[in-house]
Parts: sequence; structure tokens; C-alpha cells
Amino acid sequence: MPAPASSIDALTIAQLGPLLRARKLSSLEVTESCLQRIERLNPKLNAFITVTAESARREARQADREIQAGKYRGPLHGVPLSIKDLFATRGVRTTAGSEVLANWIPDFDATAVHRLREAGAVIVGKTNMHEFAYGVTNDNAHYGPARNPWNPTLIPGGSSGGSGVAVATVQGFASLGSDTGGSIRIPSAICGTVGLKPTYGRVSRYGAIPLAWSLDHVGVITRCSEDAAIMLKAIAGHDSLDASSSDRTVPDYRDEMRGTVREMKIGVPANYFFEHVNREIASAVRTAISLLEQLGAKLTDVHIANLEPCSAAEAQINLVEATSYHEKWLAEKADEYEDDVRVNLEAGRYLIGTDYVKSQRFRSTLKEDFARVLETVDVIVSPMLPAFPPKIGEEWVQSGDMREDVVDAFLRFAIPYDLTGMPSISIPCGFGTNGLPIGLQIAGRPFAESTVLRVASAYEKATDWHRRMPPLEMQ
Amino acid sequence: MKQKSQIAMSMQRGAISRRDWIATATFAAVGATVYAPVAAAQQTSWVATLKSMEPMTGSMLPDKWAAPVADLVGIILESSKGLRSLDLRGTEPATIFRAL
Repeated sequence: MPAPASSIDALTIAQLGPLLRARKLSSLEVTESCLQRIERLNPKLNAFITVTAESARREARQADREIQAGKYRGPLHGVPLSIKDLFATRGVRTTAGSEVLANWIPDFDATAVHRLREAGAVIVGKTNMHEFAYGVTNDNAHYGPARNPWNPTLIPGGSSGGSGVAVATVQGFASLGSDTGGSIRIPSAICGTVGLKPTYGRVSRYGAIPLAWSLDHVGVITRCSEDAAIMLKAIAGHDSLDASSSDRTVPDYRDEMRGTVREMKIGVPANYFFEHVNREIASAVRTAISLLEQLGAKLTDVHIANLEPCSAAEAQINLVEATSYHEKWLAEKADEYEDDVRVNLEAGRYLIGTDYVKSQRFRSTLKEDFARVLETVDVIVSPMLPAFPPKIGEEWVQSGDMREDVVDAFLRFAIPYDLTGMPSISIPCGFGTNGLPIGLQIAGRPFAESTVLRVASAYEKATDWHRRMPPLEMQ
Repeated sequence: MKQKSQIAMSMQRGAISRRDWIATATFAAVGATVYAPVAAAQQTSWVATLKSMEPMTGSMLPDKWAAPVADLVGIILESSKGLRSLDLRGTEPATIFRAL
């Protein structure tokens, strides 16, 4: 049975902020709580590759001094959180989960990391991940696999698996992640956390080791949608160091997401997103959709054209762009890559240019197809994953009536939104009889993160799935 | 070679694509014992094809990686048939170079 949360661990960032500001809690006290959990849990769950305990304590003391002096920076000031080890951190080893970068200590911060520091956040460490974000299992041979907090024999999902585990077990109140084919939302669905992949261009990619430039998104993993809004507000906005960065004004997501879903139009896909799905997952998601209707939303069946080529297009783009980025290392230290990543990188050499461009052209039509649907509805909801996670080391899952490769299965509902760049969030919407969380995916129009967050928040207010924590023995 | 927990070196994308590949190769009604040699023959063919591309790619595919890479390339190309057949008319790529 999931355990009830208590004391500091039960707080969200939205609740913690005012307590820190009013000095009813100190940042050092909260940071120590997280560090203690890391010390206790990392040997079991392996969420962190690097723990920055001493610098975290320094940052926490600094935050406490600033708050005491009346220099409150905002809702992240003094809040401990983690960073996926894909993001460059000044003076702190950044491995991308690979032996290739085992000794890289950047002399700069990724833009998103810099912005979190500017917001006063305390960084407790760098989280485990699938090597170079190139996979969904987080089964990492170099640093050991991250483990599922609900059942440590299972995968936590990936590639931001360590981030999902860390947030689910409050080894930090949020985590910075990346999503190229679902890498924020997949571990969020599996770990029972909230994972927000914003619109492409909303958050700078500068300083994040690329997997595939045209698909890479930077986003957040949190314990509720309001915390995701707080995190997004801090990291979003134009960055001249990222050519794909948007110069649109960053709204106050927390303010815009308030309100109900009354009269909002929710699209329920009649094709693709409910095909070959575990029965319990489909049932939980259908129940969640019914609840949104009870809250006043209008449900509309929608049909999204041309989704079948998504998998091939994603593969073509991902493999070619990744191989291009890794070309030099592949020539110099190919043996340092893990098997699966090496195979993917070698294969990228043999795909042809016309298929790559066709895939990019397909994305244009896919965006138009989704745009047409989103003229009639505000958001599209679906299961996040078709199956429960497999054991560590297993490659197959049972997606309802179909046994499929874990990569194919977990990418299936995630990649349409990486290909289109639309914002998408996964929130907890129930548990299977196996005790594992189930994720509900909500996607919206480009730059309509507030709308997606509003639906997520309305659902959270009516349920308590997002408040469940992994079993006591894991805490 | 970097081994994961228990994963043998094998293709990372597979189920739907692999099944489709076999099915479209018209072996769907045949038992698994018959698939294997046919699939192996296809793999051999792909390995030879990839090896022959060394002058084009400028890099040599090491023998120990040839089979899984050939598997993966074969799967992706097979699953890309639908993509290739799309008539996109004048549609331009989603990502376009922008001169500053």
C-alpha cells in the first residue's frame, strides 16, 4: 500500500515557499531532510550519480541569509531540487550517464540550471539517467540502474529516471529533465510524479547535452502541477544561446492555471492512443476522463490523422541527429558507449538523407493535423503509457493484447508531442492492482502550457493520487 | 563491451516493427521455427549491404556490431515504408534554417 506522506516530505513547493519566506522553516533544515533521504535511499534506488551535499548546504545557508535580510527571490528560493546529469553544471561533474563524459567538469551552467540558481534554488545533486538520454529504461551499466521506488526490481522509466525517482521519494522537491521521445513523461508516469514537457522553444536547450536537436525539450518533474508551473516560470524564456528559443512572453502560469475546467473542451482520441493498452491502465484513464466531465468539461471524440508514421519518423530523426552529434566521440572512444547506445549510434550512419527530410516534412503535416483538432478542443487526453514497467533487464512489456519491445511501447503515446513540439504533461491518475502508478497524458496547443496545467490542476484538486508516496520501506 | 543488467546485445526497437517486418515478408502464417532461418538470411543480406557502404559512410562497421546494427537498420527501413509512401506535395520540413 502507498504510504501517507508526513511533515516536510508531504509539502509541495507551493506550500514550502511561504514557510521558507516566513522563516517557519529554514532552507538548511529542508535541505538536510532531503540529504538524509538521499543518504538513506541512494544505495537502494540509485537516483543520483553525483550528490552535491556540501555545496547544497552552502547554498541553503546563503538562501536563509538572503531571506532573513528581506531579499526573497520567489517560490524556489531555498528549495532543494535535483538536475538530470545531462545538464552542464559549473564546477560539478556532468556525465550524461556515460563513461564518455565521466570526468567532464563544465565551467558553465546550462541556461535552465543558471535560471534555477538565479531563482534561489538549492541543488542537491545530479540524477541518474539512460546513457546520453538514449533510452527509456535507465538501465545504466556505468553508474548502475536507477530503480523503481514502488518496486525496486522494476525500471523507473527513462531517460530522466533518476529525476523521477528522486522526486517521488522527496530526495529533492523537483527535478530538471529533458524529453526527446518521452524522457520526462515516461518516468513520471512510472514513478507517480508530474512530468511537464513544455512547447519546443519555450525553455532553452543550451548546456543540455543534445540527443536530437530538433526533438529535444527541457522540462520538469514535480509532485503536483502547481509546482510544475513554478518551475516552468523560472526556467522559461528567450535565450540567445539557443537558436530555437522562443521570444514569446512568459506568462504567470500559476495565475493562468487557476480556475475550473467548466466548459473546457477535452478531446478524447478515437484512434491510436487507446489501442493496445493494458486494461487497468485504460480503465483508470477512462475514469479520469469521466471525472473531468463531472467537473464540467465537455468531452469530444477526436480523430487525429496520420499518426502511424510517427514511430518511423521519430526513429529516423533521432538516430540521424544523434549520430551526427556523437560522430567525433564515436571515432575516438566508441568502446566507452553502452551496447544499446552504440548500436543506435552505428545505425544512424546508414539511414539516408531523403528519409530524414521526409520525416521532417511529415512533422509539418502532423502539426497541421493536430492544429486542426485543437481548433475544436482545448486539450487532448490519453494514457501516457500502454503498459506497466518491466523488470530491470527485461526488454518486453505486455500492452494489452500485444507484447512489444519496451522502447516501442513507451515511446508510442509520447512521441507525437515531441514531433509536433506541443506541450504535454503526465499526471498520476490511479494505481494498478500491482501497486504501480498510472499516468494520464494531457496535451495542448503550442505555448498553451497554462491550459494543460489548468486541466491537470483541476484533476488533482478532485483526487489524491499525486499525494501518494512509495511504500514506507522505500523512504 | 558495456553490458547492462541482463540485456544481451540486441536491437532496441523491435516488437511492432519486427513483427511487421516479418509479416510483410509474407511469413506471417508460418511457425517461428521457419521464421528464424529466413530472418537470419535477411540479416545476412543487411550485414553485407552495410559492409558494402563503408566507402560511403567513411567508417568501418566492426564485425561484432554488424548483426545488431543490421537488424536495427532493417527494422527502421521496413517501418519507414509508410512514411516513404506519403504524398506530402510541397510540404517543407518542420525545422527550417533561419538566417539571422
